[in-house]
This record gives sequence, structure tokens and C-alpha cells, in this order.
Amino acid sequence: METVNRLVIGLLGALMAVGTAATFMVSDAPKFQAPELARIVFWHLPCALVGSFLWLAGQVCAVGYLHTKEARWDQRSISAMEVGTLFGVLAMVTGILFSKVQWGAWWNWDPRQSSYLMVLLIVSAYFALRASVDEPGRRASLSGVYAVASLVPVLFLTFIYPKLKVVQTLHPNVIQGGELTFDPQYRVVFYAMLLLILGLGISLVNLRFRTLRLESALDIQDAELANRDHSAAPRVVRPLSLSPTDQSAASAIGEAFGATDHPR
Amino acid sequence: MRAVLAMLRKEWRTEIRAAAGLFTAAVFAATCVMAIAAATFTTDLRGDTAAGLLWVCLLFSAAVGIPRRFLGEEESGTALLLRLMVPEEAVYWGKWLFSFAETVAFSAIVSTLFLLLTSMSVPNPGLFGVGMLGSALSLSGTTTLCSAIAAESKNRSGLAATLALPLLVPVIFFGIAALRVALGAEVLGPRTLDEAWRAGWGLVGYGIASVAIGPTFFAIVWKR
Repeated sequence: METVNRLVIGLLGALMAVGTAATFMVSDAPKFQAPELARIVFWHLPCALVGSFLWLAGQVCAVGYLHTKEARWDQRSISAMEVGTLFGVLAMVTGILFSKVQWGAWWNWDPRQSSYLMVLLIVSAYFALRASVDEPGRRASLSGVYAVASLVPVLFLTFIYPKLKVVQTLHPNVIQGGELTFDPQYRVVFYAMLLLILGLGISLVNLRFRTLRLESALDIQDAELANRDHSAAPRVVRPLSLSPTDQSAASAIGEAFGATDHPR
Repeated sequence: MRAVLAMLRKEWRTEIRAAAGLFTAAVFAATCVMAIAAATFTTDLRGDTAAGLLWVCLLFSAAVGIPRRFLGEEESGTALLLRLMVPEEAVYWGKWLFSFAETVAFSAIVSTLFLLLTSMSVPNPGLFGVGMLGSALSLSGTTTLCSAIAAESKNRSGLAATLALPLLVPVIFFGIAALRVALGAEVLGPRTLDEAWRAGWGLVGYGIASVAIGPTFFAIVWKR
């Protein structure tokens, strides 16, 4: 499994390098103020779409947790929300940069910009809630309820509000009649980058999910060890088995600090 | 139903005995309206601006009340007693009903004060009423749930408003869209008026949905 994961990440890295090179091979977009900088759309739009997709996935996983009460659904939910926020912030940053070039100001209170910022605020409130509850079960339930309750506002702000007829946006309308309005060359590169960034997002969620699973397993092991000793105080040092490389590093630390035994 | 009414009575008595909460909200709302009226004294307020400013007052007077719903129960240690003695649906409906009544009362006071102090008229009272009803439903539904969610966290009072305000963003959009026309913003033909009415009813719909789904979420939050 570990080998497969490494292969997938290596392959994604290689494809991402090819995709990045391809974004510089397409011709400039003459309709924009700085035609050569319009290539930022290959990063900006996929990051925004993948961010929104991962937030929605996180909210769906929260429904899974509330339905089953299994910790892995909560771990999936928080992994997707965290990685979604990373992509959301990237979309915001790339948008702000291009806003300065195209519209002459870092921030324009454009409805799409503002509604995306509000979604980021909702997600921030979700993280604030998680940080404020100590007990893992309660944390998962409360944040799950908040994630599900915020589904309607998130959908409204992401898909409905920017499309309202009364809303006048500076953003170009890139989807008309279900089709991208890009030139064919841009369209191919855009779809390729969208797939790559989505793949990157999913692999990051998977990595974060596995880290959370390991952390949770270690916490359970610690609790079992503390119970076995009939001691109220939990053990501080985890009984990790060290690989040969780690053992040599540990002995080097021991020698450097004058310890007689390897730290275990 | 009896349990819900008993819960409502209990909420009323608690608020009356320790009237500090009600006074705080009233003073906060009045100060907010007076500050806006003083700042705009020399200007003729347009419907668009007035709707936004009125919403600021409504939102912040509702935000002051959020911590009082469930946070007070946790702090005074009565939450456990409620869990033992009262069915969870009755707790939710009792708390929500009180919250709704309080929001309606505060909305009426705040909007009357606002209209008096800014010398605004309401050319479309029907739309204004629908907008205010939808606001009260949405504000009370959302704040009741967020107060229950935040009640068991570490920094309760700050967190409750942090959780509620982003969820109220669609409510603010709908509310302003309805109230701006109700307060006399320029109407460019029947379509704009229709859109304003749709926004008003959309607000009522959002409020009803948030109140209807509330007990399901509340059951998860309330259980230990």
C-alpha cells in the first residue's frame, strides 16, 4: 500500500510538472490587461473549484459521521475541510494577485470575491469550533452538526448568489450553456490542470486522513498503557519501534549528550 | 405541548428575574440605532443604505442575545437538570419560542426607533412586514442552534456569535433585498418589485427551514 501511495504521489508530481510547462506553452490571452498573466486562470479556477468540492465532501462526510458515529467519518470530514481550506486560500491569493493586474486594485468587493471570502469565514468558524471542544466525541458531533447546518449557506454563496441576475460581477462568465467559453487550446490545458489539482487534493486528503488515523491509534495505545499500569498519569514516551536509521540517529544523540542507553 | 409551555414560562421567569440580559440587548440596540441616526442626520437616507443599516442593528441586537440561550444553563449548572427532567424537543421548542418572541419584540422596537430617528417612511409596509417576519424566524432559528452548539465549548460567548454570523449571511442578502424596496429604493418596473417579494418570501422560507431542521440537529448536540 505504501509503495502504491508513493507511486501515485510521484506520478502526480511528474504530471504536475508537465501540466505547469503546458500552461506556459499556450498563447497569450489578448482580451486581458496583461495577456501573458491571464495564465493564472489555470491555477486560480481549479483551486477554487477543488476547494469548494472538498468543502462539500467534508460536509457530506460530516453527515456520514452523524449517521454512523464512526470516528473515521469525522477524520475524513476534517481532512477534506482542511485541504479544501488550503485550496480556498490559494484561490483567494491567486485571485487577489490577478485582481491587481486586471482591475487595478487588490480587492474590489466583487460579489464572487466577497461570497468566496464569506465561505472561508464559515469554514474558519468551523475550525474555531473544533479548537474549542476538547473531548473528541463531542468535538466530532458538534462540528458535524455545524458543518451540515452550514451546507445551505455554503451552497448559496458558492453557486446561487454569484449567478443571480441582480448581481453584477467583474469576473468573466466562463461557463455558458454548460460549456466553457475558453479557446480550445486553453480548454484542454484547463481541464488537464483541473484533473491534476483535483488528484493532488484527493491525495493530500488521503495523506491527512491516514495521519489522523495513526494519531488516533497512538492515543488509544497510550490510554491502554496508562490503564495497564493502574496509574492515573499517562505515559509520556510512546513505545515506537525504531528503524535502523532511527536507531543510529538515536545512538548519535545518546553519545552527544553522554547517555549510556539508547532512548526508547 | 405542556412541556414546551412550561419551558417557555421558565425562560420568561429566568429573563425577568435577572433582567440584565434584556437590558443589555435593549441598550445595545438603542445605542446602535442612535449612532446611525446621528451619523446620517444631515443626509437623506436612500432605501438601499437604510436597509443595510437597519440590518446591522437587527443583527447585532440578536447577536447580544445568543449567549443567553444555552450558555447560561451550562454556567449555572442547570443544563444537566434540564437534560434529566425535560424532553429534548420541549427544550428546543421552548427556547426557540422565547427567542422568536424576543427577536420579534426587539425587531419592532429597533425598526420603529430607526424609522423615527432617521425620518424614513415605509412605502411598502406589506413587504416590510414579510421581511421582518422572515428575519425574526431566521435569526431565532440560527441563533438558538448556534448557542446550543457553542454551549459546551471553551470560549462560549465569543464562539456563539462567531458560529452564528457566517450562517446568517444568506439571511442578510435576502433581508436587504426585501427591505431596500420596502424602504423606498428605486424600483425599475414590476420585475424588481417581484424580486423583492421573492426575496422576502425566500427569507421566510429559510427561516421556516432552519426552525424545522433545528430539532434534528439539536437532538445530536443536546445528547451526552
